Amino acid sequence: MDINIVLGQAGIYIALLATLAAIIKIAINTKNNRVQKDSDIRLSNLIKVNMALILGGVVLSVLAMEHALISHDFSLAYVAQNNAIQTPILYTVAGLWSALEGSILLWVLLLSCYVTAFYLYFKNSAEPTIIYAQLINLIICLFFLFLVAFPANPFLHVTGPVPTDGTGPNPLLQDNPLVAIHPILLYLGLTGFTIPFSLTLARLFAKEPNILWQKTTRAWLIFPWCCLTLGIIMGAWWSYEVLGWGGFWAWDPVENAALMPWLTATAAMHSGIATEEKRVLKTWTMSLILVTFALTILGTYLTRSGVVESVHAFSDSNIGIYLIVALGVIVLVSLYAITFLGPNIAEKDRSYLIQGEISKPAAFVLNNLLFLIIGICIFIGTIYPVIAEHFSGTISIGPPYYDTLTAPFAFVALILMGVGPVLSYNPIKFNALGNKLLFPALMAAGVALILVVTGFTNAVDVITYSCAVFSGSVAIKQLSLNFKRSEKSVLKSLIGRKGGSMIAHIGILILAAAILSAVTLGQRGDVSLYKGQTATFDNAKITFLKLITQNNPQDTVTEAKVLINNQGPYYPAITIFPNESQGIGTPAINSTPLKDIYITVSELPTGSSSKSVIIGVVIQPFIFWIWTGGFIIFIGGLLSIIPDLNNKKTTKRNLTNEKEDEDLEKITV
Amino acid sequence: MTTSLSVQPKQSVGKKRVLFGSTILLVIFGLLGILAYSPAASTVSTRSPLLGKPAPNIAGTSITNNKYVSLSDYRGKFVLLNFFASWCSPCFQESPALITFAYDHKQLNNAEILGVVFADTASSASHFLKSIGATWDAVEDPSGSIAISYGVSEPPETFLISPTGIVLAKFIGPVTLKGLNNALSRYQ
Repeated sequence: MDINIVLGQAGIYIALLATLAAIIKIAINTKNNRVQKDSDIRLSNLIKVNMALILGGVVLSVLAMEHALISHDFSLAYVAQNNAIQTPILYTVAGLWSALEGSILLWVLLLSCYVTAFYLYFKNSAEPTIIYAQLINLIICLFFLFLVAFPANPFLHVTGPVPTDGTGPNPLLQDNPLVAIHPILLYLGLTGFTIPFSLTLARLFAKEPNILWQKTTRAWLIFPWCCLTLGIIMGAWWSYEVLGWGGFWAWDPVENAALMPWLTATAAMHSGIATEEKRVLKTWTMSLILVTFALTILGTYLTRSGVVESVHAFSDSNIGIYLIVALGVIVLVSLYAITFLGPNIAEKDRSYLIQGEISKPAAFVLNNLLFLIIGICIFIGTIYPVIAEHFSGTISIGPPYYDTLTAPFAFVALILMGVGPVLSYNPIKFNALGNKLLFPALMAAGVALILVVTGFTNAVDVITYSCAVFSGSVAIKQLSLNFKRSEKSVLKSLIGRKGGSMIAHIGILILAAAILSAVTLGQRGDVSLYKGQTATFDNAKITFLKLITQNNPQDTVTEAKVLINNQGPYYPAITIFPNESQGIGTPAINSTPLKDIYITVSELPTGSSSKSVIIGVVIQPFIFWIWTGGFIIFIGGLLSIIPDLNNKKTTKRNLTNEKEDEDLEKITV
Repeated sequence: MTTSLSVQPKQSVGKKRVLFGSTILLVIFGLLGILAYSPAASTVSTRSPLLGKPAPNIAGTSITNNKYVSLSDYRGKFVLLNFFASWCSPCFQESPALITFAYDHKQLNNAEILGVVFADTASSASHFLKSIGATWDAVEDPSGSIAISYGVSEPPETFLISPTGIVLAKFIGPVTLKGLNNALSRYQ
């Protein structure tokens, strides 16, 4: 028996058993639905050893898989299918997540890291909410461990003789280092939503909670949100750098599957502010978090069951049915909790706080509605083809549907980003709002005027840029207020929710303006060139110098040596891998903050008569700012949770409720 | 310990709330049920205006052996018309299914595969067919007119044509052996 298989299997089973034991331990100790008060039932006393075994077991099997990949141990079917002797080391390591079974193993690894982090953070807690939350975390862990242990076990021996070489990963996954980072970030986001989910359910089930739920949940929600944001942007970047069509988002079902939980999580983050500060919209925020987690499982199902046709989908898997059952359980439990237990936690009626139309909670409600509408449009577009198949035959829903339906709402959200931050919890008059927004509005009008004068004719562009400037100047104004408030320390003013959120807003605005520019102002076309010829396309001079063919052991690369505006050379290429007959085009990109010139080899010369090469050219402005905007959002999100990291005390409800109420009244009156 | 604000005497849950909750539950479970019974996308045939209509004829020199082939020569057998390209990754993915299908039905002498090159050169397409071990004929479509007459926008797309030349089914994306055989047995 192969050592990698033995260690890998052992790791999974150790973790599985330790999880099961931990669940039983907690269940026994919380019998009759309550944790005995002031006893010694702390998490650390209960499940210390289990937690070590869970993380240890999972890490062991991940290491065994990596060792098998790096040592090209083709006795593992998974390695034989996803690795070859010539595969470069980076893509060998990334082989862990380039197919179904391994990707679930990575999922389990990240999930167990989160669950361990949760344990370490709360190990001295005897709070029922925390203990229930860990119980739910462990049950979710158990489910995914079950998947890797049985239906999607990556440690199976090849049937028949051990091959001398493997088939290698999909060539598309051997083209760009972003393949190594994008899935990890995405999974860090998706698995991370487990913790807010469990905290929310636990808070609903626990009878005598003694913690401030929203304060506790906040960082656990925002950190995965940051990772998911960057993961989605990195995925778009990968697709732009690799797929050769010059686009970055295709409304593919798998992309949608990552975007839907992002939308609901974003909504929850916003309504969560009102919950935290004024304890309104609590059940609503909770519902959003429960929905977010259910959507991550739905996404996992869509990606891994083969029901949707997608470039990302893992084919031929048998875990779909387990995920559907899990999703059913999650929906059932969540709905039960919200319907029957929700009224218990709904706090004293504070709806008067939402009464004024022009107030912060009202803005959050509107924000939530916008995000939900966009989410529902995407949900219908993703799911409807699958449903329709049963009734009227296959239909396909393409980008025009999504673009047309979501754009207007995204646009309103863009403007709301400028209005929301200046509002307060006290309703204000329309005139007062006008005064607050006068300067940003003037800025926006100025920008619009400049754009029109300089010859911008596209109305959508002009309006979007000026709206972005409007909301952006609000964000900068808030940051400067924050700067004054925090004794003129730049660092202090950027850290925390007030600073971080405004930075994230600026990132979103940059992202939105850049996406719109690329889509509306981009140009694409083909030029057919003989050796030494130059063609001009949209003011870009493309010169084709020669073709270079390299026969490497792992592939055959045909590169075209091309000058762009007499700079370069650039080498767009077509790569042929030996085990795959398809050629993979590699674009070459001249990227500047102002515009990207993106060239691909569309067609190599055929036969002896024609020697011309067809070069595809895509010219789009401001692509650089899409990635930059994504990174700024990520940084902004992280900045906003820094204060939470070192602040365990704030998560405890240390005020008596009466006092808290008084404080609230004082603020609001 | 002070009583926590959030612990209130157990309220009776309103009827409306329960009704609302159960409605959502039913809707979601309905969706999940449909999802659970959804076959893989690649095994389902797709709508096409061509279904039930005579297949537009195809004729040309086969890129695999330079013989002249025409779709009408295949009358009397089912034909699997497969639009493919060497650069298309799903085309490679579906090749084992096609190879097995071709082999099985060569034995039965009731169905054949005819390839149509989609936006690709003859040399790389024939290289592709050789590398996957395909033995069937394939015709070039340099002007894209065959693809237009069949409404093909992105390979692989596959049509099942009856022994009398009628289009029976259309598959978008990589086919599976199960999907092909299901479709074939439905019309046999």
